[in-house]
Amino acid sequence: MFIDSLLRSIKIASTAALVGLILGLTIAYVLAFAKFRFKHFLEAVSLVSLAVPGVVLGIGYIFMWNQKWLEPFGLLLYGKPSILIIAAIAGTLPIITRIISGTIATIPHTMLDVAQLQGVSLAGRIVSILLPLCKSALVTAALSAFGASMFDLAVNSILYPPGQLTLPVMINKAFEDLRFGYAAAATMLGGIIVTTVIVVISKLMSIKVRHEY
Amino acid sequence: MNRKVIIQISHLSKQYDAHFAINDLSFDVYEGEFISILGPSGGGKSTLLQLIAGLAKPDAGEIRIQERLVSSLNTMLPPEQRGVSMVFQNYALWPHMNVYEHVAFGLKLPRVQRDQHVHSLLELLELQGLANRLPSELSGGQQQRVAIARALATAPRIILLDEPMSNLDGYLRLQMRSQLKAMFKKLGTTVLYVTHDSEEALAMADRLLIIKDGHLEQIDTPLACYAAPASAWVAGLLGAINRTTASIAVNNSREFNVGYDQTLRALNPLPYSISQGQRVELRSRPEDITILEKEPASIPPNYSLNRAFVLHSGFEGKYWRVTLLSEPEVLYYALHDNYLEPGIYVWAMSDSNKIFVYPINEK
Repeated sequence: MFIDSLLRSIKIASTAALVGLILGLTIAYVLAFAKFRFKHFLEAVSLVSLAVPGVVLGIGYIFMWNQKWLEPFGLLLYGKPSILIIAAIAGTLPIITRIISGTIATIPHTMLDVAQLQGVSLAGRIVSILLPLCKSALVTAALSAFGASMFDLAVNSILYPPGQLTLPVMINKAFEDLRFGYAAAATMLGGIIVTTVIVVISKLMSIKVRHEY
Repeated sequence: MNRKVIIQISHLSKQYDAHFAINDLSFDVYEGEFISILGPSGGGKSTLLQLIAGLAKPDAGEIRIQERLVSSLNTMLPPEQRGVSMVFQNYALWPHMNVYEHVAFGLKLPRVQRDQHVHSLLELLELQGLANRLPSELSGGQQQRVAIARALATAPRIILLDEPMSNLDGYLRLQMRSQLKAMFKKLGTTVLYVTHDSEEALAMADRLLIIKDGHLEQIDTPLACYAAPASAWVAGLLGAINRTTASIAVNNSREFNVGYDQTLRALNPLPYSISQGQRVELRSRPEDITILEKEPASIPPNYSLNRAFVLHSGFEGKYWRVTLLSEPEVLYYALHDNYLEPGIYVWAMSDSNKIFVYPINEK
């Protein structure tokens, strides 16, 4: 049961971190560089989930993803694991966006302008210039989002599909069932595993490769 | 000589809120020309480069590069399709890339040709042996040369330089001036070079483009701009810092009062006539005023002589900068070989051909 819950939580948290990273980077890029009319609205929307308590958000997701008219589109997500991923993405997006925006704001526009004048496409500029320049912020954002999603209890306890417990829900249930030893051991083990994943990934990402010419 | 226009700017304007960064600017740039764009900070120089590069959109007017319309209110050719490269004031080097990677960045060539091209540019810019260095491992001068090598790598027809020497020390700036100009002439690249240093602009340019508040003040050869500044403001920018603002033409022979009973003749060629009673601003350069400690028996023709009171003498290395006061309250500077005691009276002799006159239009 512990292994199942742990793997389920890792799957949800890593998917949320990855998708959140792509969305967060896009929002941060638009906020910093694009001449976009509704910048401030976008910024406000990206912060909404920080201002609303997790339980309220969870109930909101039930209302939103449990409507009959969504069924023909295959979007009746309540009771499916994908609703947990969507909730995790929504929960981590403000953190990811803030972390990446902070770093992007320190990158002079001229660094991207000069790449454009060298004839490089937008995708090329993002891959060759922007991503390497904010690599450490991206790693920090992804790992923070991963860690936060792994142990988020409020939304998980409301939205978890029947019989598919996530790690925080499983630990909470163990405490409720007065299985304190099991709950404490699961907490410790879960914490150690998550910390190890974070440390290993951040070490791997900090390795610098120097090419010789 | 039949020169080919490479950049055509027509009635170009760019506004930020209520402020005109560029205001109805029109001029042509010829192929292979080195243009220095001179003006004060905030005068619109960098905005002009951004407009030409396509990094900003004009609010009015047009830019044509090689006769092709690249910027107007309704047209905006992307920067990467203009055949223009730029060197920014901060060089915009990428901290994660080494020198080789910077220069090779925009090149779409097979490996062997790319290597050859990059190494030939590194040699041209005297950067051999530094290919594997990161920007943080380079000096200011080397960083500047990497930025120039990168800009030249894609063989642009036009290169825009935005105060590239502002971060270099004085000696290096002097050295780079002649090296850069010679290099660009050899390559035949058209250069627009922004600076607020008038000496640098004069030394490097084929033509000077002088702008103030986004407005064209003068465009001409350095010699012509220096010898006949188009306005009192340009005269001040090019060193004519001595000024009177309330002189009156005492006759129709270009003689102007600079005190109760003191006059100056200004014979510098003017595109306009000045008649008796016209209020004018007179401008002169400190280096064009000769200080005589005793009254001379005679002075050369077309020279004016005025008595002045020494207020201050400041040592500036090659000379002493002397602050003089003519009656009643005309303050001006002159350069002198030795120290002059404040409080003494001297004679200031000025060449009438080097005094500039600008009519003051009173409304």
